[in-house]
Amino acid sequence: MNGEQINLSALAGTMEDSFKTLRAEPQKAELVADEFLHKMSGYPDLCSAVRRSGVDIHANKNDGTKLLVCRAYHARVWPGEFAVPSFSPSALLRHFNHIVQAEPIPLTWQQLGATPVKGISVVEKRLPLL
Amino acid sequence: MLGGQPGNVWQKLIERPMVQKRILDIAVQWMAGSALAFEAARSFDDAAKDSRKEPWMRIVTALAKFRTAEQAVWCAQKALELVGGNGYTEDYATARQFRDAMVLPVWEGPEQIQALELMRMIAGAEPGDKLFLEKLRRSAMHSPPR
Repeated sequence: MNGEQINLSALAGTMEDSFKTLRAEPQKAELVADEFLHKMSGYPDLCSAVRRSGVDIHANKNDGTKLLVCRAYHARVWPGEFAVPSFSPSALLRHFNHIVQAEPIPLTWQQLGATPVKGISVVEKRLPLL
Repeated sequence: MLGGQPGNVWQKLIERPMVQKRILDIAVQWMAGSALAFEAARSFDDAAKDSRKEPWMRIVTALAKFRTAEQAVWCAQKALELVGGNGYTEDYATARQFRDAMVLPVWEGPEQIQALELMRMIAGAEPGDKLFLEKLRRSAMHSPPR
């Protein structure tokens, strides 16, 4: 299972729990409506970006740039509890620096260093929404 | 250009790591927001052809209106900050972009209205919650192989 599958499956599990809680007490829906909006609005972004990155990898000479965008977006919207700052530039930042320095741009996900994400940080560990 | 700290050499803004990270953050938000906007647009086409797809159109429209408006304001604000005091003046485009972005959360319907629309779809008679999970799981199945 790859990083994106892990991320999306974990998010689906969290949302399923939240929906069950909401369905159990629909009369209280308005109390948590904004929280659901905040939480849910990040998901179609990620899903669409993941789909788009899949198209690029398969149809556009293994272009993995959008895969990096997906991972950066996931980390931004669902930060893990154990986020430890890293001093090494991220794969997306390295890609950006190639552009800034007008260097040849590596496009394949292997060249970009977008290896599958491992470990606890890829899975959302926060409590369900409610 | 930014510098001035003892021992620092003057550098272009774009060469500063924190500026680079902020620009990337803005770009990532913009790309994700664009993907969501296209998903919402496609849902209209799908619903026009098949009325059973209208629930998804209503869900994703509420989500897209909220999220893209928030992203636009955030991106414009951070872009303005990057340009510093100049960014606040009318001499640069950032002030106008920020002002223009601020209309979106109002024009497209405030957050609370979108939230109530969402609740109608996921906590009422409509099975929007099941639809949402189905979409999420389908995306997981079709994610890239690496």
